[in-house]
Amino acid sequence: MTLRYISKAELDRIRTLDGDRQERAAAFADACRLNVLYMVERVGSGHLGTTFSSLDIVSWLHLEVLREGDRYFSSKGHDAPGLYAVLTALGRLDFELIHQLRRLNGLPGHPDVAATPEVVTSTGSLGMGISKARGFVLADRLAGRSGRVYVLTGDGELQEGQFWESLQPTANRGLHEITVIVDRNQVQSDTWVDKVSDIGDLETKARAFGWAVANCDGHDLRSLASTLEGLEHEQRPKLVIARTRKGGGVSFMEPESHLPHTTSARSHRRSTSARSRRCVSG
Amino acid sequence: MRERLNARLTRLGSDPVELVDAEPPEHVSAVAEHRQRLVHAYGNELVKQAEREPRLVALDADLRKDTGLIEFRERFPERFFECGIAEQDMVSQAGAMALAGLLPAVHSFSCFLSTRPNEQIYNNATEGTKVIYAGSLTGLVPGGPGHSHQSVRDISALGAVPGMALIEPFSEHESRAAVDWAVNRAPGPVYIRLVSVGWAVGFEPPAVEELVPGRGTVLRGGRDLLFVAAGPVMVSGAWRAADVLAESGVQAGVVSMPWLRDVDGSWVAEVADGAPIVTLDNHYVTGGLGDAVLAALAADAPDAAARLHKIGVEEVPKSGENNEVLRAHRLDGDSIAERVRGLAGVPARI
Repeated sequence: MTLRYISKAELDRIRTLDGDRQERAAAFADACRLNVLYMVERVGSGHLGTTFSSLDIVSWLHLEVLREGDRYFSSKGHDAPGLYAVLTALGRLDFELIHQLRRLNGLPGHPDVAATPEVVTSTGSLGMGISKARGFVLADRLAGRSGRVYVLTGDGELQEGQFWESLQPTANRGLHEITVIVDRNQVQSDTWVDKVSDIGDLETKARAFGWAVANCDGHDLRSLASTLEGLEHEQRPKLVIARTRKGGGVSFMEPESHLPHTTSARSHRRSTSARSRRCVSG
Repeated sequence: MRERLNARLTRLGSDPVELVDAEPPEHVSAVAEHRQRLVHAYGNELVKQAEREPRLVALDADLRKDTGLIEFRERFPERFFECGIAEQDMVSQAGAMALAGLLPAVHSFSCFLSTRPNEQIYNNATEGTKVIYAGSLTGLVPGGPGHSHQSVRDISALGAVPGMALIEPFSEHESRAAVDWAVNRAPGPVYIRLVSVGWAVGFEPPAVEELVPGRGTVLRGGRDLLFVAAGPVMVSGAWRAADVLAESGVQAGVVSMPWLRDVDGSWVAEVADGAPIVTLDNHYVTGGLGDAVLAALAADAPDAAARLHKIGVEEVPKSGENNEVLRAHRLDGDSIAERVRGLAGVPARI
């Protein structure tokens, strides 16, 4: 079987096309998806569904939102191939690393500050994201720095107690520098989130904790962009519920396909019989 | 997806995307000689025990496929409790179930189960009840996910829980025997540590009728050196190392020691029969099997304790393919053979 990827030069061409910013970022996200598929197929394991559901968001943040001094990290961590695809496309990581996912001295399966420059913090054990974001902001404030922190979380991940512990103190301190984007793809490791332990009305809950809350379509970058802009001047921490689809609109990866926990695109393709709604974890 | 991307590029007035062809890497496929699927054996045995023991219930934290519970859930849906990704909540719930007369078996990956609800596990143990904790995905491999998922400190994290037995089987036989012991004979809480990767051990594992506390199975004799190891990765490493050493005339024995804390030191010393003892840990050297064996020997056979060498994980686990990770940590069979040459008391025969 021949594997195919998009070169750095071709990614540069797409990233710098003139025209509509949202269309360009969506094209960049799809190009990154193709490279994620390449990386995961090459090594034979990796969480494709959760990576694909978040890639429009991750691409938009990196192309249009993040400024010098800002931080972005994923609390769920297992969407690392998406971050790697974006960072290699931007030249912030050596492009040749796309051939080294989950290989020794390559790109680890979950983000690791010790292994990868540009990774902000090591994640992979769920629920730690907002607590870490708070630490970054408090340290920045003490040092007189003004950077913002963008944290992506899963939705299955919100079942962890630490997520709920972290909400109130972040609001109490008015840490408006923090924006949490929940990748609400509705699927976790075993099955649909609401079949495992429904998280209920997250919007009302987060608002009750004192957060500025909004929701948007996580695959419609116009919707995401206007939602982020609408929250920009809020003096509270912000939480955006981004409605997404596991697989990010790629038919063979949508949740109706049978997708076992952490496996390859090859087996995804083999097993699209819709006999169960399992998907890689979120 | 490529079509969708090209449609976007067309709308941006651009040419379609060009892709680069790449040859897939050659995956070295190890010969599946006597591959041991421990999680499957564990789950199957749990169902068998549940047929006889109506108090047995299973709790899981969104990993039922990975912890071997598909069959249990199908057979006993009313005795299966899906707790979501909320390990602390799951473990305290199990503790109360035990107080109320049930025998809960609690499941997740070792890296999460032994650590995040560690305080809840301790609290349960202080109540004097019996809860079975089964952690899968233990140890260095699979190496792909990286160190957040490579559980190499679970033995030490649970090592001081009062009354807890810690067990790591190396074979499907030992896995079944571990479940049997935990359900029917264990007086208190039990932690069962399971390697998830189907692992080819390279020889036919012997049948195990019943686990004997503190003692293991002599898999191979040898007068010059005794490897003491738990789990399929280290036992197969010991076996391979013994093969390599035998080529230069060094006779190394191999013991599978499933008891990770309460080891019968007299028994180990008797098996070693004066030869140096090398423990192998798929865990940080600190607080692992090696420390347990050393403590047991120090108490029961101080002379043998003086001849003990500990080998295990010494740095944060590396991410990579299984064999390259083991080699990088010098815990593959060939590296182990190399490391024991020249240890005090190991003869350097050619």
